[in-house]
Amino acid sequence: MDKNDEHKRKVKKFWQIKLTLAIGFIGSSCLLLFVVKGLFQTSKEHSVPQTILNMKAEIKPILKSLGSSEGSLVERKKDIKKMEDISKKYNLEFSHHWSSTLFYVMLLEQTLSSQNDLSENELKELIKNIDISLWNSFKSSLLEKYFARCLKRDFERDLERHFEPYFEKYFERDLDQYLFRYLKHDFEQYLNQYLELDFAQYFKRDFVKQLIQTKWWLFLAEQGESPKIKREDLKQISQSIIEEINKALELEMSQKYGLDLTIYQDFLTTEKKQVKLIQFSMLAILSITVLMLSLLFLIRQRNQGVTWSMTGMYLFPEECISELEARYERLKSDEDNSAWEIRLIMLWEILILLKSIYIQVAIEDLFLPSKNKRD
Amino acid sequence: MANRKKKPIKLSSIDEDLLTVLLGRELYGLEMLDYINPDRPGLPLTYGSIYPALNRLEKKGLIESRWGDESKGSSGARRKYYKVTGLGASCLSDVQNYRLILAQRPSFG
Repeated sequence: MDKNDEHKRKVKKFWQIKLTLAIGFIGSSCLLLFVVKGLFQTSKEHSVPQTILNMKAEIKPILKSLGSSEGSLVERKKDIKKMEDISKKYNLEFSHHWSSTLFYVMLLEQTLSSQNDLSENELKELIKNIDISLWNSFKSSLLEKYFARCLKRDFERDLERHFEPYFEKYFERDLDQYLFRYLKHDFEQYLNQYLELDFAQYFKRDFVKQLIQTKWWLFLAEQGESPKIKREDLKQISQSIIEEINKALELEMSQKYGLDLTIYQDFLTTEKKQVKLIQFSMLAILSITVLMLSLLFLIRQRNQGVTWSMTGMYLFPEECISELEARYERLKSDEDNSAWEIRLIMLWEILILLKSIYIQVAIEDLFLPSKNKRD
Repeated sequence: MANRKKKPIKLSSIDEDLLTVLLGRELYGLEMLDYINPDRPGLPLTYGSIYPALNRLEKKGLIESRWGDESKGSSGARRKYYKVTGLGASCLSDVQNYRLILAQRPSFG
């Protein structure tokens, strides 16, 4: 009995150690896979200079502030200025055109409202700083149309009567006034033909034309007229502009640095990437060490003197072990059977025996009397 | 005192084969298969197939077993030898007689 108990203890300890080593082997393999995946992903990630991360940190709050409808026109103008300064500082162009348009819309919105933070002089000063080149290009195209029409009637008479005195003396300064006084009808017709009144749809298609539209409304408002637009619609426009600025920034970052601001929330600087790589490398070394050690101990366990038959004593009755051993010896002595064939046959025999003992016999014993003889 | 009616003992085909093989012999599992499997119609039996039958027959008292010497294997497991009891022999002869009667029974109609 003591020999049997010692035998069982030896087998039990053998398999416990083997199971522990196997779990360690599998665990360290999984850890190694995870580490390799992390290393691969980290090395593929873009590392960006710290300056770009600084830029992102500076610009995002400003865009968020502009996107909200709070704040006076002066504060919002300051934000626009800051955005332009950041754009210049980091040699970016995303704010080009957009910041002035945004300001025009905000200015128009403010002008139409009952409250106006700016004095008359400040307002005039701001209107003066409107993008002159675009305004002039529109005026010149309008004038071309007017001239073309005049050619059909009496070009010389119209030119002498309307344009020449003003061209020489008041060219730029009063031309706007002149346009307003004499060509307002033509101007509006021109706008109606080329700039549909449904500006919300039109806005996304042609920025330049929308800019002109907005300036015209601003001009009308400055002259004391009320353009037929709603304040809510202007708010929509300013929101659209903020979105366009964000898109322009993302596109520029993507083109310049290969970064997609919509996907990458946390960029890695070069230093952070190095730190991450070092951490993953250390984990990789640790997991490989555990893997090699567990493999080494598993191999050493092979010569512990615990055989499959000894292990089988736990699963099968004694007589079954002796029968299996005898069957194995017979198969080995038969030269026709290869090693793999013998293994397959033995595996099949063991499976049938397991099913017989643990299922069939267990069920039948419920209906059979107990054994009369004791071993 | 009325005679106690003998409880009928059911025998499957494998049970019959085993009782037939063990009649007048004392064999262990692999030896029984050496007698049963040659020329047997259907799939050859394995020890796992006859183990439940041996267990069943032993518990019904139709066969009895004894432990043999230690085997030559590394585990030192002993072999179990089986032989038929008187009850087993009587059951087997009842079944064989019935088959003879069945074969000799005239056809009806």
